[in-house]
Amino acid sequence: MRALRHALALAAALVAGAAAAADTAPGRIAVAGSGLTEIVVALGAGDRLVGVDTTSLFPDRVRRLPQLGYLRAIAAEGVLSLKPDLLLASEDAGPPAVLAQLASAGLRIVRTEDGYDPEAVVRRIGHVGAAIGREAAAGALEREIAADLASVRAAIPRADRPRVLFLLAAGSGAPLVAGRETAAAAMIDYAGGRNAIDAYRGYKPLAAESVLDAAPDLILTTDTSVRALGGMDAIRAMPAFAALVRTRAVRFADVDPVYMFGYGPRVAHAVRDLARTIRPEVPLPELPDRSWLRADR
Amino acid sequence: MTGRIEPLAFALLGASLLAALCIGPLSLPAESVGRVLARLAGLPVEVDERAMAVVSALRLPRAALAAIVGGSLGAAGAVMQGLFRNALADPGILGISGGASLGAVAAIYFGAIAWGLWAMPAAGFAGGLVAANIVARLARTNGRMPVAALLLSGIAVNAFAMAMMGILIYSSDDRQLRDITVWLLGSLSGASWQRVALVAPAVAAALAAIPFLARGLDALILGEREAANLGVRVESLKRVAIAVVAMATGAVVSVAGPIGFVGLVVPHVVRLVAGAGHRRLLPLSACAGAALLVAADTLARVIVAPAELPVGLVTAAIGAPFFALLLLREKGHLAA
Amino acid sequence: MIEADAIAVARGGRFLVEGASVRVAAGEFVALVGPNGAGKSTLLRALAGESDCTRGAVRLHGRDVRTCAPGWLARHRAVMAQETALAFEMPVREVVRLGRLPHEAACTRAENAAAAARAMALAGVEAFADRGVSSLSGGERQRVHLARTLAQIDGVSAPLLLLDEPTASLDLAHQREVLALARRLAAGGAAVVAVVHDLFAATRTCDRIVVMDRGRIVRDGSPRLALDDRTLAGVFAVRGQWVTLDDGQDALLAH
Repeated sequence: MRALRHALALAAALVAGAAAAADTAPGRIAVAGSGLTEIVVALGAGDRLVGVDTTSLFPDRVRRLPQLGYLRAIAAEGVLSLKPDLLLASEDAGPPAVLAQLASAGLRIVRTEDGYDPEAVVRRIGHVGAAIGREAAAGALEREIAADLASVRAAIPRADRPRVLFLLAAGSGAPLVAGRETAAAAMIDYAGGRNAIDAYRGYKPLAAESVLDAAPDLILTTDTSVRALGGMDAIRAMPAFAALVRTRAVRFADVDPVYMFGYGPRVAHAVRDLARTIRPEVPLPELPDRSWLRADR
Repeated sequence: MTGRIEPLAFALLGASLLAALCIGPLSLPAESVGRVLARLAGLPVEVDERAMAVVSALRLPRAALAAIVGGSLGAAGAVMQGLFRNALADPGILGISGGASLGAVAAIYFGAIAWGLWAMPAAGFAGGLVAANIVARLARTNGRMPVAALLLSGIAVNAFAMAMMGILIYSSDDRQLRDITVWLLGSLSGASWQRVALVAPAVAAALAAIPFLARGLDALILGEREAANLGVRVESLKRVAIAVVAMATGAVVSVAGPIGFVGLVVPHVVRLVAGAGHRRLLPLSACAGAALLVAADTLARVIVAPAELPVGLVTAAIGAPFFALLLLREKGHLAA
Repeated sequence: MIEADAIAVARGGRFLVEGASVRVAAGEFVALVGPNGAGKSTLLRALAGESDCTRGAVRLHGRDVRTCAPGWLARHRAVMAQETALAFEMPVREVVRLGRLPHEAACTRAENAAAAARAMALAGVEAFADRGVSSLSGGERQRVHLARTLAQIDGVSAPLLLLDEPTASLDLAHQREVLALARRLAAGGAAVVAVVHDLFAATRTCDRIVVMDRGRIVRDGSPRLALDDRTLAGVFAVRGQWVTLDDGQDALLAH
């Protein structure tokens, strides 16, 4: 028992030390959350990253960093072994017990709220900038992304929104279809479409009749799903869609999920590209070629 | 030679515990771990603060939890194999793991984890006890619980728990789904003294009852009829055994998720080495189960560092081929 | 010592044993004979306290075997089943030691080990005491379980020993030895009831024969009295010839 009390006192001392250190910019940053990783790199602090979770895949350099494991299952000692000064964790990161342990071991942790909302990305940039001591760069990035988003948004018509069904291949089972409160639904909505499924939250296995009932104009999927399901023609030939194709004009398209649903600095460009996919006929503004779009930074 | 098995088992457990304390993604010299242990034992030695924090707050509780979970599963498996007179029985056979899993998954689904870190273990433990209770009630006819009826009720309750879990998984949102999937793989991640304290009472109560089961289970090797003729109250033996296994398994599944093969393989191997007598089999299975899980978890922590594997994957990866070997070995008997 | 008073045992609405009354005193060796399905094993189970009587009761030393403490019963009577299958491999010595289970609280380890050793010597299984049971022949296994049963009554005064076909898988020499052993135990104060199919062996070694047919006890008495020509013809559908052996014992040759 004495030993335990000693350990707790020690942890408290370490936390106090960490709080003092927070005033200076953290030199070693671990990140759990793909959008946050992109923000850190966009703010010019990519060389300070010491480890990222497995969902962080962009830009290319972060793939070579030590992997903390899956976003929802990071390991306490694994994170500590990278000797970070700061763990940037999205709201989604976990498990809670590990985050609690890391905090009690004295690691400074900054959590950001998630929210599937492109505008939330702008707020998050400020949050991250403050946490890593890049406030000025964050201010500039915020302004640029806000401007890009505003110009895209102004050009997207809100009337007669096409119905978009988002399909995701998952393991060996039936592919999943996105319902309400998903990253896909939020993005589709923002880009001027309407998520074709409103009856449920989250993802559910594809059901042929509910696809007919949803009457989508566009079947949106991911490049990895297209590969997993054996190509776009194979998807078109699936019973659920074969019947649909006979009854209405349906388009099929695929996107890069890391880009499209990462909710990082590339969000304005992602919205623009998705809007173009949803309504090819609508003219959209050209966006500046921003530095954070490059994969090779 | 049989006299040397107990010291060997203790040595294995000690070695695996030492390895668990010394090995981790964060490399600490064994010497500084030794200093930390000496300090924790009350000796006035200089310690490295970081080593102190890592060993006392992360590795020690984790090794302790692994030992408790592995020991419980090993002992519970030995009790179940004795009760069912079958070396292929495991602690999950009575629907306890299924019930505990359902409880924990329900806690994730209904957001009970927001109430505190204790909520999931509590829900899992309750689920395990409810499942064991239903199985015992279903199997009871005229005050007796025939083993075949227990087995079938266990299958029914497990199937029902799986179905309920399927419904929860089906209707859970994206994040819950990912949490449930990770949890179902079985992991000791997030082990803390708090969790150790959470499971310790149930496990201690269960383990304390185990010595009293040993001779009854020995008699049961001869069959229920012979055991009764030897003066064993077979029906109360069954009730106590089920209660013990439900407590131990429910508690450990609720904190660590369903970790397979320890409860099946460990008692089987121990029986091959030390014989079927339960006075040795039960404590040795607990000891070997603890050693195995502590070692497997050490592997799970470092093999993909700085990330970690769910320890359930490690035990399954070791256990499944082993189980296949066992089947091959026994094919002759099975065919006979 | 053991008395069954007009007991009946029914299973699924059918009477397996009906109106059976039998008393066995200390020192008696009784053979229970009868054709297949006559109810011999059912009666033996009822005497052992293993199964409930639908009517009537079985008393051992004056206590109802269904309501007395299982531990007390186990210290006063031992049962050897027709067949015992071990769930897990065990050495012979440990199986025999299990017979001492009811006495473990009252006796020391050394006393129990000595009792088991005596039982193994009596049943002639010492030679393979450290071998696993599964490596033994059927007859050897049967003697192991006999040894376990003997260990259970070692040191008990006036024990009841119930043997269900104890000689079934034994060779002739061992059959004779086991029955002679049972006889010696009876002479030492035990009450022994054995289900025996071999009428020659039964008449040769037992004091008393109980004949069962279709759930009822039809004859009970000395061998010559119980197995008269009418019973042999009516119950067993055989004829018999009594012979007197070298040792002066009468025995029945059925044909």
